[in-house]
Amino acid sequence: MSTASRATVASQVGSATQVAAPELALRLANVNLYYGSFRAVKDVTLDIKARAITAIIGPSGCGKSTLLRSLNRINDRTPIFRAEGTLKLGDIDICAPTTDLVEIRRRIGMVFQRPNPFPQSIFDNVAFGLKLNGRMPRQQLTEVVEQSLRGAALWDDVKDKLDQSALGLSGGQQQRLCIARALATRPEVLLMDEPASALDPISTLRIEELINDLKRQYTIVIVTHNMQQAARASDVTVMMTMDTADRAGNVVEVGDTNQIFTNPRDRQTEEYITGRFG
Amino acid sequence: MSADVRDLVASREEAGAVMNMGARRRAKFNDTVATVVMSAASLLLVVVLFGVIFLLLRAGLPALSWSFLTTAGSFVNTGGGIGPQIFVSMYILVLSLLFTTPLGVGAAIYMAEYAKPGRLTTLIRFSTEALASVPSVVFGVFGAIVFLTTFHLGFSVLSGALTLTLLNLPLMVRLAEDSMRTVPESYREASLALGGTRWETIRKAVVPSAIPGIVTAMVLTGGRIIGETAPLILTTGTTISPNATYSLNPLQTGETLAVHVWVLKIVGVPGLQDAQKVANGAAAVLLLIVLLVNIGAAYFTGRLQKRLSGTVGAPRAGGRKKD
Amino acid sequence: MARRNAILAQSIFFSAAAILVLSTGALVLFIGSTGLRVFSFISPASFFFGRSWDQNTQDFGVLPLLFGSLATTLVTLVISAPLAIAVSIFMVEIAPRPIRRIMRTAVELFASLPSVIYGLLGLTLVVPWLRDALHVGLGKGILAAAVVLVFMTQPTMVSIAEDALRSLPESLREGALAVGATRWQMIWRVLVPAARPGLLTAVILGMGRAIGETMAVQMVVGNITSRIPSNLVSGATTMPAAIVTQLPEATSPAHRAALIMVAFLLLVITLILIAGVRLATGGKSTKASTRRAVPAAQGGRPAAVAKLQGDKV
Ligand SMILES: Nc1ncnc2c1ncn2[C@@H]1O[C@H](COP(=O)(O)OP(=O)(O)OP(=O)(O)O)[C@@H](O)[C@H]1O
Ligand SMILES: [Mg+2]
Repeated sequence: MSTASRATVASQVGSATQVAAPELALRLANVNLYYGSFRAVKDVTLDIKARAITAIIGPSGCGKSTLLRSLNRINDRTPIFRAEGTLKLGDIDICAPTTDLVEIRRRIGMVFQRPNPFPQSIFDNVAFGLKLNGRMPRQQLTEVVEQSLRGAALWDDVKDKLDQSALGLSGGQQQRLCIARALATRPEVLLMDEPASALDPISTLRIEELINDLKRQYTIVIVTHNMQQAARASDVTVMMTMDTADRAGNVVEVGDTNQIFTNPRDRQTEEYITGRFG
Repeated sequence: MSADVRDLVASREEAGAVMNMGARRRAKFNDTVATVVMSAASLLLVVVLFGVIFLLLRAGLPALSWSFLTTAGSFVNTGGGIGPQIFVSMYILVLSLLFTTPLGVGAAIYMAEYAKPGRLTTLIRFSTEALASVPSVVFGVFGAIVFLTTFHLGFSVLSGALTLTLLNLPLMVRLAEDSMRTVPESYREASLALGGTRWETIRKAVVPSAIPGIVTAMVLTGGRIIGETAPLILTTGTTISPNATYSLNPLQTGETLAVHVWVLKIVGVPGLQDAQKVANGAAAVLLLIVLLVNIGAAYFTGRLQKRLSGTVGAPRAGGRKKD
Repeated sequence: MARRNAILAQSIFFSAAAILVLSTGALVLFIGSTGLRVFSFISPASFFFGRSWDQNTQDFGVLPLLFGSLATTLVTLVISAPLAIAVSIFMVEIAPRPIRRIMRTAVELFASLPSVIYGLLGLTLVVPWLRDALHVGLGKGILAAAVVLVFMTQPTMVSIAEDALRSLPESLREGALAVGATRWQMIWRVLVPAARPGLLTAVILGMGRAIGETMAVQMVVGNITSRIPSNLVSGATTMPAAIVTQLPEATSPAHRAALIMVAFLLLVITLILIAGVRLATGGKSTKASTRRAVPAAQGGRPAAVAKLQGDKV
């Protein structure tokens, strides 16, 4: 990708920042992500606004998940994975070898594409993150669990069966449980990788409403294949594509969601959102 | 904004309170301690294993020589060997594999190709499982009752071989069946579509592809037969008649190499020269055989695996995390 | 003609499979019926509750044997279960790939060492060490047997526990790490509970191995059958050890029947353990696990085969 378009990206975000809150949650500069010798994501420079919903869209295989999963360094578990460039959460350098992964992950929560509740009770699932950090008075624990479950719009479904196994819940409920689990530790940023892809339309809508409410205090980055969802639910949209030559993913356009969906500047973005490619 | 989320949002501010620094330091510390403990436990296991192998070989290797492997123990001179015991071990090995392989492969073919889910199949499965976990000494007792007494075979190589056949059957069935199941369904369909009967399909498509698995099973079973002791003490006996060494008569009593080690160490053979040296040498030979068997099995397993990844399609590089 | 061959083939294969069922039945039947004859010589009470086993007095009380077996197994498990779980955790979650490969080889080798070799090692290393370190008795006894069994049970337990941990989905690990768990918290609070049925199976089958082990124990346990052992370091016996020591030279019919009855008890205990495994895994077949309990089988089963075959019953 050319330096020119990167400059555009920066200026777009810059102007967006001036209008909205003057705070950036995550800053990526010249980020390159590799699997072995294969560069999956190329030269991404991107600022992610705090307390806003950023949607990442793009065709399959363009590196959306890879990018998202490098933000909380969960991708470190893939042995051949390697990140270059600067990734910052506030002042903290996410990629520095000395960075405390536990702290990063407590500040940057994640919801996965497939619901992955632990084979434990519903209560224990939500309380999991809280209990990691030492004892918490039972009453406070119960309170936070309830708040989180309410926040994930699951409380009414499960309030009578908190001690039952989470595996007995439906797929949509499980996904909301995972959201509650991520919310329970009150992260600053919430990363979501196609959180609604396995859900029915009603559960999907509930999750969209939910993140829309959450953005008052939380920074949300969501990967989605669903154009309506991106258009409906996000403030900023990041469009990624895959280079035809080396198959490396890159960011072609970043902008206010309205603008991207009504008046895309990049031809590939336009083709993608109108369904002509990808 | 809904009331539910308001709580959540308000409490975002208290998040600092949730992050209890002392507890986090403790969690880190526990993580380190646990890592050290688990690594140390594993190291201990590996060191002990390779340590004892080293000790066994150090004690036994000096005794090894061609004459040690080929001559009988001597009551007169030093320098006796373990020839007759090796012979009995090999004889029982061959005899027992001769029974186990066709039976095991036959049963495996039935389980892999004919058996339909149902009570009978469950019964066969359960029996296989049960047989696989019965202690070997119980097989020895069974052999002592049935082959020695009921069939009047007495303490003999044949009784021992038959007993070991029962003992090893489950392993043979399982490994053979496993390898047959890896034959792609498309092979069978292709053969059936060409008008072949089930039997022809099995003969031409399934069994040839399962051969590396069957050979692996034979190698592993062989290793077990060489090392087996308790059932043989009860069925083959602990002596070799001095005027019938190297005899092919299956109704002779016998003493295998493994039994010999036990006899020398525990029972004692009055008057045998160099008994301890012979015992150590015999143990080293046993160990070397076991090592060879392992290498052999690994070789055949490797071939099987290679074929598998050829037919099933290699997994994408790095596709599995941390594995 | 082809048709006749096909039918013939099928019946031959079926007979081979039927032999498995018949042998299991025969095993129970023959050992049971022969063993139960002991009660025509001595009363069930003096067999099951007798505190001495002595062919000179023709007392065949099973308690010294039973107690020896239970104590040996218990002491073994207390050490070997935590060890095996630690080792399997190390192999699955901590060790880098080359080290894991070495460990796997080591465990497979451990599995294929013959019992007499373990016994020999116990005799030349463990017994003298206990004797000289503890200065009690001759070193032979339950403790010596347990030390040997700890290592003998490792392959069974480690490989099943390792399978259980390895088969947990990566998403569980990611889920735990993503909320800020340390690796140990992930292991202890998510993976271990999730793998509990498999870990339990590992322990039960290790127990089966310890109870049934004959030669290695016979060589280091002292083979004192006449009394219930009062401590862990003086001579004792176990059920299999007593059988293999005494059956070849048991001359009186009562003695012989009593020993065969002990074998029957051993058989029953084994079957109970298998049932226990079924219970632990929620009624699923124990196939996957017993296959690993067969020591030598460990080398022989490629992971790919297991995966391909995993969902077939
Ligand atoms: N573990 C891995 N090892 C090697 N290559 C990988 C790995 N994971 C992903 N890739 C490759 O990296 C590229 C980006 O993959 P990624 O999963 O990030 O795409 P994506 O945009 O999330 O796709 P989708 O929309 O289908 O989820 C792809 O070419 C993919 O094949
Ligand atoms: Mg993806």
